[in-house]
Amino acid sequence: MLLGARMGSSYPQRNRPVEPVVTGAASQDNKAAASTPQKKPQVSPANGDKSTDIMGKTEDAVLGRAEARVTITEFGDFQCPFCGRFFREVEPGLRKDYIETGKAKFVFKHLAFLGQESIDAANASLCAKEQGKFWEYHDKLYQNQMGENQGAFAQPVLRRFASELGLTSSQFNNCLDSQKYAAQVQADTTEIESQGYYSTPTTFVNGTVIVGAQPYATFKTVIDEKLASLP
Amino acid sequence: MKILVSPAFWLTTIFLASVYLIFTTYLVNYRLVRETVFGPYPAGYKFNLLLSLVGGLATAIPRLNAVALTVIALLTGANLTLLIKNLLARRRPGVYCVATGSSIFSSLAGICSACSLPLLTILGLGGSFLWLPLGGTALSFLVIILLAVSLYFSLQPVMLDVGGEVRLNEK
Repeated sequence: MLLGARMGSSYPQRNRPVEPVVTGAASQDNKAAASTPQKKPQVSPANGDKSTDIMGKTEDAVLGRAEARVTITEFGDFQCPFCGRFFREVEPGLRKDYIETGKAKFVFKHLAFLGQESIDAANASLCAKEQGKFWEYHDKLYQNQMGENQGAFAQPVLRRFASELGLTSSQFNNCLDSQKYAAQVQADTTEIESQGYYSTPTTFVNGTVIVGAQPYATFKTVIDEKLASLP
Repeated sequence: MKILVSPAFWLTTIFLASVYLIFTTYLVNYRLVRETVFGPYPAGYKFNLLLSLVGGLATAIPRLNAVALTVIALLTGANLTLLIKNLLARRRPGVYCVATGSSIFSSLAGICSACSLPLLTILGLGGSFLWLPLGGTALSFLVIILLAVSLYFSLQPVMLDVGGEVRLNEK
């Protein structure tokens, strides 16, 4: 689990087409939108990468409308194969059925426990968030999973990802080298562990916890119930 | 050993193994299951959620662990089936102790391994499995061995209390 969900086996990597990302990021994303086909972001002006949800903090990465009343918060590790499975098999449905329709918003937080490359990847993702490309970087990491601490997320690779996504190299490299967001990554990890959860992915849907890479049907059932129970 | 070709034995074994698998699957999300079962939710929601969680056997567990878990479930089912059979057939107080003890041990061993991770977490040892061989999968193999040994002995003639003296039943 738990730490379970960590399961060390490697799984065949299915190449998922890079889908248009609905992002709540700020104006930097619009530059990327000009070069790659993307759906028009459905965001409220005040969203950006901010969340005022009870499960989120202002520094969290948020996908979708800030005013969405259902919050799906995933605690994940970029090296965890089950988080990778969640990304490939559950997230597309969540994005299509709930996030893009404005019914829910998606928050990603870090539970980086699978070694140094997990921590570095988490840091790197937040460095990308600085430049408004958190979700692109998040997708890039999961699309390039390859074992644990085998070099898939070594520092040169993380820098290459940033370059491929059009991030400003100097800013990204400075951020990565200084481990600027190490405290935030640790804070996320402490937050989830203090609630008694130690595995990835662990997902909160308005307070209801789903542990593991459960089938999409499980998430859909819970989310629909939350939506139905809203006043 | 004739019992191994009995349809009743296999039906009971498979039923108990299924219950075991479902229980183990639900144990991973025991808080969600508890909240769902005892919460003020519509019956349809409860049914759909519990049914969908069973699918987690295919998505949330590595293949090797899933295979080991299935073997453990079948061995546990077989052990419990033989326990029930022996208890029903030999209504002797002394036998209860011998048959029940080994089967409970093997069943608990199976549960402890299959759901060892949540149990380790509850005990505050959630990270300890990382240092176990194969990340904890070795526990499953150990349990399979224990259950197989238990099954072997469960298939042997049980002891009988004859005139106040416990003897091997030669029948």
